Amino acid sequence: MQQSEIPPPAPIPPPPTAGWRRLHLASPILNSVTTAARFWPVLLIALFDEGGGLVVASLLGGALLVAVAVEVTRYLRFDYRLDGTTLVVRSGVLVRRTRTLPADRIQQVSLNQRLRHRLFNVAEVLIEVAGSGTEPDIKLSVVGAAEAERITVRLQDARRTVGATPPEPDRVVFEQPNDSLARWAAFASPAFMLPVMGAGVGALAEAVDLEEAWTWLPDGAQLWLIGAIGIVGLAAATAFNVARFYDMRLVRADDNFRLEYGLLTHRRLELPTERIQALVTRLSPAGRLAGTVRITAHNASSAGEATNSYLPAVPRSEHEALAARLLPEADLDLPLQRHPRGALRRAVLRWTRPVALVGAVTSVVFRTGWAYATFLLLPVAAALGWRAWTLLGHAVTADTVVARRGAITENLTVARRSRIQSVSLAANWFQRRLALATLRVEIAQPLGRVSIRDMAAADAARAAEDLIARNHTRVSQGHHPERAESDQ
Amino acid sequence: MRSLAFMLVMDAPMNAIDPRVRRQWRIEAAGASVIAALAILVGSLVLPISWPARAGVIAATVLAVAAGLQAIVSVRYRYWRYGLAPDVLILEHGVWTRRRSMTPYFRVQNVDVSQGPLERWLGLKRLTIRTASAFTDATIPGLDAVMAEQLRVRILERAGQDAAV
Repeated sequence: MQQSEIPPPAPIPPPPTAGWRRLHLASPILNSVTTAARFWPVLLIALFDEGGGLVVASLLGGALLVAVAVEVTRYLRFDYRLDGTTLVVRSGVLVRRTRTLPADRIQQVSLNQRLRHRLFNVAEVLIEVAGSGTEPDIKLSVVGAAEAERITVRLQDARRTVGATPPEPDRVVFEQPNDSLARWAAFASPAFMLPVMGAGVGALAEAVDLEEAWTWLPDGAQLWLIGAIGIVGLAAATAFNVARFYDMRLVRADDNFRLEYGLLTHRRLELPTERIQALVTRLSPAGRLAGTVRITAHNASSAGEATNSYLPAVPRSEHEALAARLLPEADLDLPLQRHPRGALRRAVLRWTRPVALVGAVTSVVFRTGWAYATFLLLPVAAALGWRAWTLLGHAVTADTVVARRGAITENLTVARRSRIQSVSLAANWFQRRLALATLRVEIAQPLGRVSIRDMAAADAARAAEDLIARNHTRVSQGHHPERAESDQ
Repeated sequence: MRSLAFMLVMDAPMNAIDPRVRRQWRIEAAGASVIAALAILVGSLVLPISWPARAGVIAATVLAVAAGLQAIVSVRYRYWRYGLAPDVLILEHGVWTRRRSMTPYFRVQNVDVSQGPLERWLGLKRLTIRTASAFTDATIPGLDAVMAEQLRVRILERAGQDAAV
């Protein structure tokens, strides 16, 4: 038998070493400070402990030492490379982990430059894919500002290579007017200010004997003091909100949206247009007073609101046009289908029931005029229920599902049909009696789902089947309006 | 079974889950009753009542809870249905709130088949379909172990290769 010559096994190529990059040298220092800062409650306790100076110093020193050791080890064991159309990251001290992320799976790239980062001219790059959990999928903390820019551009280029979309010149889609931002910040601040002031007063009460100081003040001065604290708190909260969203610009860069903002912390979010799953416009009482609307563009990453594209104070005159630019299928002027009278009954009950319950309990327990006066809120609750019903509405178009709800705050959600994951119908006993049902359209996190409450049951069933059947047909035939739009 | 008659029904035969699941649910309900009894016992210690009265209150409450839970098991089983339409998995369930959920196969990210100790003893499995939305309601309890594996294969065959998000 003739023996064929077995070729010697080809040598296994060594893992590529070229192209691997480390984080910036300042990374261990900055991350150590962040880690050490997490020990502030310990520091606070030690500070208020009598004769705790030595304890404070040793605690702080120990925490810093541990943090530096951990961060230096992490730095040495972390590297990344941009390999064609994929980003590869190696990390882990005891357990080594290599993550490979194809560029076309990226939902969002964010670039954060805090004040401390600017001292070293570095930035954080957060990369999110679908279902990232509560933390970004890949966090490069920190790289040089120029390197951060290079990564963002390279990932964008890689996505373009994968999707084969032609480049487009950058154009500014929206610039936040300073006056509307300041108005919104002033009106939105009280809600933010109260917990901050509460925490401040709590800390002050720990430090000085407030009761004694209070009696020491002359008559009438207490009221002035409260007023002054309120004004300072309001001004501080307003300044904080303005600084946070200062100089906000939304730029259409190729097939991405780029959102830039922030005075002290610079933030930049890169959001691929076709990754937008839904758009939510929110008209709150503060927004109503300021004449602004909040718009959030949701993608499929679930790393929280901090990294989702959200414009807090879009002037009402501009919000419809901006929504249409973010999601071309979105038509905020679309006439919505109202919900049946049974829904009115449920809305009024939903608002009046808690008031009646609280009124009944307080009346039985306290038996005072104030307790009985709770019932005076019933007409207000009923009016809010009626308002909730008048706002309730929905529409199902060829490309979107639109749902409006709210009473005090008005929310309008427009979800892309091509992004629907599943659809469900639910009806409890009360709804079944009134021939109503709730239609839930489930999309990827973080929005998760769009609920259309108390529709006519027959309409809900028809809409559910239509959404599932046509959505499947269109998507399986490759109909993606968002892709078509981004290809233009 | 009175299905969600007020809703239109997709063209798919609906299947009942395995009747052995009732035994599983009854045992779980019994466990819940024992926990309720312990909680009531602890709670009743603060009440200034005699031990015979306390025992009576506990027994009556536990009996009521147990009877209620056992009754719910039968109704819950009656309303649990699932169907495999050509493109969509359909689930119907719920006693107080009836639900009907539809999940297209091409949205499936992964399929989990799991089995707890009770299910192992009864030869049952639970099948969960995951999509990119955490709100997708797609867990079928009480499937015969062999059927669960067959379903898993059938769903994965239909899942296709779409990006799913």
